[in-house]
Amino acid sequence: MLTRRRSRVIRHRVAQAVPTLILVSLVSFLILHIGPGDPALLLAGEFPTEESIAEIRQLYGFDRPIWEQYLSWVGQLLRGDLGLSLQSREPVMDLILNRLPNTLLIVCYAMVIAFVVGSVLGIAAAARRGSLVDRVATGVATIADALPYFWLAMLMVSVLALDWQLFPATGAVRFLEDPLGAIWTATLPAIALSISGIAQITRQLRAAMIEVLASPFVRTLRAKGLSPAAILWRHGLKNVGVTLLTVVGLVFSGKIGGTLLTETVFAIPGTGSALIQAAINKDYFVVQGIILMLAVLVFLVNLVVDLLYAVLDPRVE
Amino acid sequence: MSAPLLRVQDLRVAFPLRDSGDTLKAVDGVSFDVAEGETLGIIGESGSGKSTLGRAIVALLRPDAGRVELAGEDLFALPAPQLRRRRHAMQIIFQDPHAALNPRRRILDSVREPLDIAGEGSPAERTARALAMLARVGLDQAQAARFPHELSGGQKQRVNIARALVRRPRLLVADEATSALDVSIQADILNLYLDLQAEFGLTYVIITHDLAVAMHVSDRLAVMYLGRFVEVAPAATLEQAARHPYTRALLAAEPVALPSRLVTGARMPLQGEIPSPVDPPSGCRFRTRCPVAEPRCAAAEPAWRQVAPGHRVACHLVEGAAC
Amino acid sequence: MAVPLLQVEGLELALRAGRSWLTVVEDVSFAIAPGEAVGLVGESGAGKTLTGLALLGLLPRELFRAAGRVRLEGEDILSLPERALRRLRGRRISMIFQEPMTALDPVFTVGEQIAETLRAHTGLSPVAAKARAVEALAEVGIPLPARRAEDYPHQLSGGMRQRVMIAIALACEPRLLVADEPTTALDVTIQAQIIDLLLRQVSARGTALLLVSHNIGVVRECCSRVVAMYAGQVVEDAPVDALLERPLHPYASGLLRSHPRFAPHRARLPSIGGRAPAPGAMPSGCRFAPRCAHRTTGCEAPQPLLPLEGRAVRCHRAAALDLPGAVP
Repeated sequence: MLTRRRSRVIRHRVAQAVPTLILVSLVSFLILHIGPGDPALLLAGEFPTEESIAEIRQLYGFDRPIWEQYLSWVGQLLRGDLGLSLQSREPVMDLILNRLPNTLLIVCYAMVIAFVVGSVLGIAAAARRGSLVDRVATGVATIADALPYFWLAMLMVSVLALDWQLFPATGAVRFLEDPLGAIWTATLPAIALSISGIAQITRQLRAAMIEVLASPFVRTLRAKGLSPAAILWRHGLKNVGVTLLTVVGLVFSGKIGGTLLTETVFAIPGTGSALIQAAINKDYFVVQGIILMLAVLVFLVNLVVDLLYAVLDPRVE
Repeated sequence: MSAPLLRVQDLRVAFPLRDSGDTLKAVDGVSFDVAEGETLGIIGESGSGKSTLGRAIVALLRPDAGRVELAGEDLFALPAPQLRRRRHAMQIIFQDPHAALNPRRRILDSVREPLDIAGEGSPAERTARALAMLARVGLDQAQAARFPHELSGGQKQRVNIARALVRRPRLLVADEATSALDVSIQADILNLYLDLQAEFGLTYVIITHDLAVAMHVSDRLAVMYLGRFVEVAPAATLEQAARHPYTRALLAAEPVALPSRLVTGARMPLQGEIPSPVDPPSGCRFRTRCPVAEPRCAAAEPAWRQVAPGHRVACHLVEGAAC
Repeated sequence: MAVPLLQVEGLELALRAGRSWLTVVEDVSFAIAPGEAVGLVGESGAGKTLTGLALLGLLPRELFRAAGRVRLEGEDILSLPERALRRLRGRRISMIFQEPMTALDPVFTVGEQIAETLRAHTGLSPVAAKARAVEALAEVGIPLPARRAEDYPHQLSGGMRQRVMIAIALACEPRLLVADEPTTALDVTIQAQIIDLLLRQVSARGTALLLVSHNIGVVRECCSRVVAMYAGQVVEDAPVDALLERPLHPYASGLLRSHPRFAPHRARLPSIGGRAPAPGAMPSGCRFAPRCAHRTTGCEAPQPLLPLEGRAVRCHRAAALDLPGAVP
């Protein structure tokens, strides 16, 4: 049901995305160059010699002007070449593609949990404001916000995985090879990752729904003879749709960052744990590649959210 | 008539619209004079531009073209510091009595503020003057010490009047200043306006959508539609002998609280909605809703015609001397 | 009067104020015959909107307590459970509100909002309800109704939105329509259109109308009878023309005479003076007495609403006074 006006909005948003993408690539590129010192020195390892530095400088083109380096880097990028890992000499792109499914699985799984639990808690709390449900939901949100989630992750591992043996403690199963097993294994990390999202979604949705239920049109709906359920689930939900979308977008972006710790705690071979490993090993091209990939992911989530605004809210101009 | 206190010449105010790049011509070529001590009523519906006109008169917004002269001085030709020094001479009161008052300041402080800014007299003198003006509008010392939320709508409007008058302006513009009030409170405020005008020799521009209010307090009335005046006449003339079809429609549309035997003429509601001021109709702007429109109304803008002394109409179908 | 469609008897509404209850509407009684149009007038705070909402059981129960009786075709609305009220609202008794800008759900099309009312009360299929919604838009004078049905409220003008509200309210052919200041937010020329439409629609359906308004002019155009409220009570219930010619209650007279129309040009208006008492600070006797120019002994006693000359008046001096009305 897209009008011409809305499709114009969408085209506009997509066009606006181009400069953002360029900026993202520029920042990722500069990671290596912005720090103090000579990048060649950084790459030369622990015992650099004049020769090795000069060799590296020439190999990576550090002797050329920086914009030329950027352009050739972008050129490689467009061909899918992110360089080689300094550690394993494996192409960074292969490394990312290999690990990304594990990361995406726990992020999406966590989002589903946060969305379902947060929506139910938030709406129930708003519908029965001041009731026991409301107090429990607000309490859960406050506690979930205050909990350090890696602590919660470790607690879950020690109780649910090690003591009760309900879930595997660490590792990942490839989704394409064994979907059910993969989901099963990803459950604990996904729960740990979802906690702060549950809190955010509950709180935002509760506030938005309370505001909607207090708006004058709700009186019209009651005067029409609609049931409280119809008012809440049909009109309330559609009206908080925009808020829900916004907070889901924010939570999603946050979760992408949250994978760094979660994957490390649960020893999941994903991009987050790889990023931390690479940072420790000073594997600059891996760091650069993963950061670029994560930034593009966050950017895509925001683009989708923006596009959905135009679909959800008839008032978007 | 001596030189007018307020002279507005071919005033135009347009607002650019961000989304479409169009402009909204809120006021589109309005000219009139108001004599010292006179009350001019300006009547119009939404989109007529009457509020924008009111703000331009007191130099709260800068017009795109035209002049506003107060006592012979072109306000917008003045350098900013000099314009600021003239501001006390022209005051405006708005519809919402609450929005115009700082909720965290006591009534007395709000009324004293214009004097404090001007630095007139000692602090004690300023307080005395503010209290005297509050007393004049019917608020005692105890009420002066209160906060806005502790007063009723009518009392807050009295505070706004006191604040507007505390530096003794010559011109007072009231923009729907009694529209939010109940009839019985409105009567008190209208009485206060009339008393204060006599006492301080004020000149009024009363902007309202309420015909009965405008007719009661105004010496002359101007009817505004989509950024232009369409008819200007003495109040009594307008009530009994309005010539412009829009004025007549407005008069006929007003629901009157009279017994049926005194209500004359069947109501003929105007068809259609008020067009957008972004894209007003060609020629006469009222023609799209006018019951007597002719082809020539779309072709050319009607010129002003004088139908009686002080009674001017802009309509192709009205006979009269060009003016 | 024929068997009333609606009979309000001794309606009392109290607002929760912390632990106690504040009486805001007291001893309100009036009746509406089938197809009759009655105006409920008064100034802000008189309790007219609350009375209107109470007729549909729309006041939140946790905030308001109602006593007395409100009978719609013999059935006491105040004692009905919420579920039964829902079946009644929108089908036998409907309501429209003042704010055309905010009274419609912004994220549903106006067609959906009409169809939804139909579906809630009739067995119409979604397709049939939608078709009926388009017809309803045509009936309230909206051009290109099939196209407009797909519009969202923000795409319509204030007048058009009020037409949509009327279409929603009348979709299920209710017996009574409560209209709360339906034209107050509109321009004069648009107000005239909406009044016209409202009257044609209710008379075509034989729907009774309770028009809640502060504007006696609007009430005169729409109604045959008027109920005037002051400080939470009915002070006079009379045929509109009779009240305008010769009001029996001093407040009604004072209200009519304070209109600028009746004073000579630029002369002082005869104002009532003072302010209406606030709930919780009501005089024990006649509530208007502190502002009344005709106050004498006997006004300290509570005043009942008594029949007089075929009307009902809450003033013990009504028969003795000869008060001016809305006559120049």
